[in-house]
Amino acid sequence: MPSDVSASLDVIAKVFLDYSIFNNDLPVGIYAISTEGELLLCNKRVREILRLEGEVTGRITDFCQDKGVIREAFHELVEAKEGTWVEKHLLALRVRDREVFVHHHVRVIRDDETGETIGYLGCMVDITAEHRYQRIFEDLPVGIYQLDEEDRVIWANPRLADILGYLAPSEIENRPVKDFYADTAKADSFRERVRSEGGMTHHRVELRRKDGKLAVASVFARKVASSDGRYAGREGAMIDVTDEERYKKVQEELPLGLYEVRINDKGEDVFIDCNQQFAALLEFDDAEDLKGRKVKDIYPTEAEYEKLREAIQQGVEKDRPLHGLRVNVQGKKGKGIVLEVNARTKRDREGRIIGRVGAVRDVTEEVELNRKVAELTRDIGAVLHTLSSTLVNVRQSASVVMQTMVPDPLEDAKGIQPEQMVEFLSAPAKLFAESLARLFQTGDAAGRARALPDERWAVLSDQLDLLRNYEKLSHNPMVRLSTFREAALKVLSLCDEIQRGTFPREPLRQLRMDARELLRICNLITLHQVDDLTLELDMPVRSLRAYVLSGQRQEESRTIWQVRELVSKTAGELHEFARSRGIEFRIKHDDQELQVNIVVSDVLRALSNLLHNAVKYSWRRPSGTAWVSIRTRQFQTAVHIEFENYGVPIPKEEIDQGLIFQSGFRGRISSDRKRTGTGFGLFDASQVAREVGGSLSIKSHPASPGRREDDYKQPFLTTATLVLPLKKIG
Amino acid sequence: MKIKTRVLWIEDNAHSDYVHTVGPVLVDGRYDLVIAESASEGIQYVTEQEFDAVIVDLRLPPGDDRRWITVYNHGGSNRTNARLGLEVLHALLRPRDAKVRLEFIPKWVEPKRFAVFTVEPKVEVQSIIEMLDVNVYVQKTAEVSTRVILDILQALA
Repeated sequence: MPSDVSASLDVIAKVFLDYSIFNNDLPVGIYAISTEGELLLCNKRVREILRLEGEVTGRITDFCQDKGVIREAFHELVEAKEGTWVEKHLLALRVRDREVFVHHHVRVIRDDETGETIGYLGCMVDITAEHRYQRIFEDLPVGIYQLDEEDRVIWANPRLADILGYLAPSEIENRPVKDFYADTAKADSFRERVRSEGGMTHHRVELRRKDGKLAVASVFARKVASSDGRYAGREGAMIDVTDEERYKKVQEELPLGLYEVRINDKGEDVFIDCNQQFAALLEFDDAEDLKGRKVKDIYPTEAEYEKLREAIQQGVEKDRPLHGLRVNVQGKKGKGIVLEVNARTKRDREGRIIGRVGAVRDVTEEVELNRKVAELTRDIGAVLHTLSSTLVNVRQSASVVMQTMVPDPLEDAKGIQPEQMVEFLSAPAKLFAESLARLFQTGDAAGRARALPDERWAVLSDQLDLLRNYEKLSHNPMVRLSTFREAALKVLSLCDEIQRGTFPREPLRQLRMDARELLRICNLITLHQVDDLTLELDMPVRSLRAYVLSGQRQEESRTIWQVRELVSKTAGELHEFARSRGIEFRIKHDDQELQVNIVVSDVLRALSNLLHNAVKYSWRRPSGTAWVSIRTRQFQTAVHIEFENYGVPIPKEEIDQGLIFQSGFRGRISSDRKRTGTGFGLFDASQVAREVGGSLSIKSHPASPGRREDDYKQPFLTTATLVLPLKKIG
Repeated sequence: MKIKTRVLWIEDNAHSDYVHTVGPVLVDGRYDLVIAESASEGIQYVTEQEFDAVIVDLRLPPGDDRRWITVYNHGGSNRTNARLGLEVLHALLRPRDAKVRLEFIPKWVEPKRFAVFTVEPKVEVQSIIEMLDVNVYVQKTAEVSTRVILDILQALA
């Protein structure tokens, strides 16, 4: 033993009359160290804690994991009052590669006579086990708590504080647990259940965090009872399930059926999980009812199930998820359902397919709607096709009848508006009126009375008045046509009432002949009108049919066309219609060689719609002629194809608001002079323009400069411009 | 001189699609027929002259009056949806519900003098027509004869 140590021991022996405090079985470790920290004496408990064998040697600091802590203790001793113990609640020691935690006290030993510090006396209690438990509680990702009989928080671990949004457990300790409930009434009911049932597990609770946000916890609680069995509080744990609740809510609220399938030992696909939507899609009341069922059970036929399996297999081979497969399944109650299936296979660690997860959408209504639309489209197409045939029939029927009604004074009068044709009525109407007037001058009153009663002569007199004063009846020439026809029919009918022999034959014969000639001209005008109308309707009907069926046609590839060829073809299609209206086409190409790369049927349809409109809405100009101007010119990388006509205005607001391009829209002035239309021409043409990367624009301004833009009784110049991208060179 | 029944027909296609029905009315000799081709024109005639019978088409263009153009535009700017003929009837027969308030409604205006001749089947507008108390309603179909206007006038008489 070193002499200084021996000397110290002697001094210590003086302080302690004997060493009995170091020879005991106390559960507290007691030791003495020199002023240099050398371990001098210790009891059995210290030996146990520090695993000391044989002679007591070494320094206490050798065992300290953090030597700074023990040094700090000794420094405090220097400052401390005489006899004060300096305490360290936790001192971490390392004893033969083991962590040992002790609760430690130390004080100074002084020489009674000199007062000199001769050593230090220390006590230690092994709290290793307690500390480990404490650490577990501190570090657990689970909130742990203890409440007293009034449900105040006695103790909480840091995780619980964290769940509630607090920085430290001290912020929640001593507070009523109700403070943290979103619904305080639920705090009371939970307490009551724990009190009566002794505990609760997996109880979902909504909590209010420090920042006001809601959290959801799954709570476990155990009742703490006093010795007489009364409720003395509770203790337990809680897990933050806020995210889990959020995902569950999303899963439940998504308008999609979600499911998971596993392959069982027999190689069968079995549902192991799904959300409520999936169950409801298949007419199950609860998702639990579907779990465990075989997937093939929801398929009405083996073939349909096989379709799914093949699609999944293809996806596996191509290493792609299944996407958008439509399958027919059957609900629990027998309802036929069409599902759109999207799924991804799941594999185990070895890469074997063990199942799949997927999302489905009920597309039954969509499929039915598409079927109906397709059917309707075919029906409309068929109807329009029939209508086209009917128009041909009507036109040809009118034509063959007109051929029998020669001579036809209107045969060469092409281009005259139907209302202008009624000028051809003047001469025969005049002759008819004269014949009718002569009737009143034939014979005497008695003779006329024998031929017809007075009231019949009054009717004949009315017809004569009508024929002589038709301009007072109506300004409209078509009304004149209708009136003359009716008057002629009425007169002929009255003539038939005259008994043979009661009236001179010649005036009657002449009257009948003139009435029939007037009727013939009226009928010829009507037949020419029919001819004109069918021509006017023919192109829109064909165009509408082409538009309706365009979605059903096989996709047409683009081809390269010269712009002048397109214009020429369009003008050719509408030549007969234009001729019937007396409209001339004036065509000008700034560049004859411009080319476009287009789906030709669509663009020709668009051009036809625009040219048809231009012809249809044209008026005769002051010069007496009528023409539509067609011009093509290049602007940078596009060609502008312009159709300009003189005639019916388009109100400014209908252009500015884009109404004219709306499907089915007919402008409020568009039925001027009964111009028929479907309202689809501009809509279709604008869509075609967009699809080829071009555009369509319309302008309409008074033909005479300086006139009011909102005076829609005057003629307007309207220009429709179809812009098409030019074919790229190279 | 015979006193003729004064008839106003508010119809934009009277001089075209239905012109063949005009002749029989004029030739009949009992009627003085006036044709208006828009809502504006129809209202103008009603407020300026008295008529024994008024026949109204439900699908009318607005004409020049800004108020009718506004109603037309609010109704989708198409005759089918706007049904300006119904609005004309409202304005004359049930002004408190009307979209266009007229400054003056002549005393002679009463439901029993009004008839509807239109494309819509009655069932589509039945409740409104009944509310307006108009009892004579004829649908335009391919089957109507050239004497249909005479038949309507007979029904009104």
